[in-house]
Amino acid sequence: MKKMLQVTLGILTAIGGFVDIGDLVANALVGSRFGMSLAWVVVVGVIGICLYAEMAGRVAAVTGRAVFDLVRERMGPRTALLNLAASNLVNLLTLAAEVAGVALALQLATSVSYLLFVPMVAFLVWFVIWRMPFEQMERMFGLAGLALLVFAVALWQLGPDWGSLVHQATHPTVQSGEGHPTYWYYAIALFGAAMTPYEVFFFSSGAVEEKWSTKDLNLERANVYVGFPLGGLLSIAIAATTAVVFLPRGIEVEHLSQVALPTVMALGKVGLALLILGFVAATFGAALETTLSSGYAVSQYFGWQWGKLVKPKDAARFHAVVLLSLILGVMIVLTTLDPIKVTEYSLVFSAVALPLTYFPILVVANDPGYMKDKVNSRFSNTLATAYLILITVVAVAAIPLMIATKAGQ
Amino acid sequence: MTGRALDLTLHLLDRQVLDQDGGMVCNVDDVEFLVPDDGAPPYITTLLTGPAALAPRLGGLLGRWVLSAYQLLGERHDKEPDRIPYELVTDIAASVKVSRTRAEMGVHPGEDRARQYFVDRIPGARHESS
Amino acid sequence: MKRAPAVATTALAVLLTATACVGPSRTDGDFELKAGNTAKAVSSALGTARLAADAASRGDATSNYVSVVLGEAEQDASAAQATFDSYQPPSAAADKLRTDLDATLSDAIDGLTALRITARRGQLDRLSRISRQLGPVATTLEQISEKYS
Repeated sequence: MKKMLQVTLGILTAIGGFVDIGDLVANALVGSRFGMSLAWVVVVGVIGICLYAEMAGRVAAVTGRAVFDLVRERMGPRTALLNLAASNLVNLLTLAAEVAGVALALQLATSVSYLLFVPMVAFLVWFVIWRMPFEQMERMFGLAGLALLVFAVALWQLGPDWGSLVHQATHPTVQSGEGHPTYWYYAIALFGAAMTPYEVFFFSSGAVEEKWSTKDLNLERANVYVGFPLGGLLSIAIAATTAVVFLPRGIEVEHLSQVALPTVMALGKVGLALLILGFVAATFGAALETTLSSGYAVSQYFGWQWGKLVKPKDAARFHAVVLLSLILGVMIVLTTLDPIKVTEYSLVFSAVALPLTYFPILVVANDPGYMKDKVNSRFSNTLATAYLILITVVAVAAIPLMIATKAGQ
Repeated sequence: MTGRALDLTLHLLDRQVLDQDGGMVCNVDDVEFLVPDDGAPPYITTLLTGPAALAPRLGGLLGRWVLSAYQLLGERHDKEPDRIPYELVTDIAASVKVSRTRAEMGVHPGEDRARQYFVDRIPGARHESS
Repeated sequence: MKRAPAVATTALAVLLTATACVGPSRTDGDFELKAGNTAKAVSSALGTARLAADAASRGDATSNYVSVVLGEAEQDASAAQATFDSYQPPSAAADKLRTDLDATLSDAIDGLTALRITARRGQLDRLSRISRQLGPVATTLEQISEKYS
């Protein structure tokens, strides 16, 4: 049991990264409009994030240095500062959406407008970061997030035509009535969702917070190879439930409430209760992840003391950045911008910032000066280089596609 | 730590400085070195840190912004960087280690200010959370 | 790489304006396409609401949850109708299409309102009857949406 609990960092990172508010809705929307024909993107994304999160975690375990530290050292202070600005802008938008996401999940339970929950949620996020030990935080939200596995149960209960689902996934075609640019726009959004930079910021910094060392490399790999595929599985299950229920009826998903509907139809109130628990845990986890990532990235860029391991007074600037990010995030939510649109856009913007984050990880993971005998294998280098090319193509194509498709309309 | 040949950009610049207890102090934002008159190779005398050291490396408008933001926050009115004498450096690896504690170094006025005026006033700041 | 933030900001600005503006419809074809899209959007909202209403009357959903679903469906449908009504019909034929579709849209929205009110009163067992009555409207909307898209 103790062994099993040790993979919660990976689970929290992946659940917060893969099935946060934007992805919950994006996956459900993709299922309702394109069936399973974009499932392959999730698989490509899972392999990519496993590859790079493993490298980032390994570097952190061997050298005690987290990702943004490497970004600055390898890209130079100037490029790194621009990456910091871009990543933190994306992070802030995501953070705002996640806080709203927790509130939206609470709205499903209470039918009270989500805006009323926002200040309370933000306070709780801050309080957890201020007071709760890292490991306890990781276990609580990572494990509660597993309630989302109810999507898989619901899918089974809906009794779909499995053959047809598999056929859609293995023979992807663009549904009639949808254009190719729109298809590729959502492909990029899903890929961006799988590879969001805050996942590696959080995972590598979390590895340092957990004091992983070279001895813990197996644990580090277990975290990656359990957590992220689980996140990917959940994404596919969500898309499948909406593909089964909504696609034939011509219903398009726009709200979190609709994401829950297939599960409610299949499993009733029990399904609903588990879903709301899972929604709250996943979005709260993502809110923690993005808030901490802002603090981690800024502190690592400037070399300030960061982390939850030390007393808050010993990481004063880190906690100041954390609190400031949360306040800004709440202000964004309270403008009543549609939180779901905000994350959809931030997914695409994060695709633009990807190469600047992943390139330094690859370089350092190959540097024997840092890694001694723990450098990348030739196999992972080949794969990682291929992904870096893919990431660059995606980064270049993201914004033009977004404009051409009016953000997937 | 004398007499070792270093590639500045590769081994020293932008690295994390850790104190003797492993606490994070700052990044190496720049270095100062001395070129001896007798033609011997130049050697490093001081590690420089803080926005005043970083800004010239950022250059241009970006550098000026960083510097003015720093002065606006009132952390420091002069444009002098903080200095760490190179004698204090005990190890250069993935990070740079020095033989003092954070408190003794006195190179992080911003941290002190953030603590004094902000973080320390919130209940629980002096307790470990883990 | 230097220009990335600037590009992102510009793109955000373009995007926010692009999503907010209403395109002109100069031809009948254009107008018909817009009618089709509106019918599709309202049909989607109505379909969601009917699924939720049926689930609630089977006892599968809480009244809080179903109230949220129905409230959002009603809002989406009303917003779609308001946008459609703001288009300028380019011809007499378009005028007729506009009047016909508007009537159907209003029927759908009235139904959604009735569902929402009933759900918020906690009378979940009555939802399936209203949902059944909305069957013909839903079929009409689907037909319009298929015809014009």
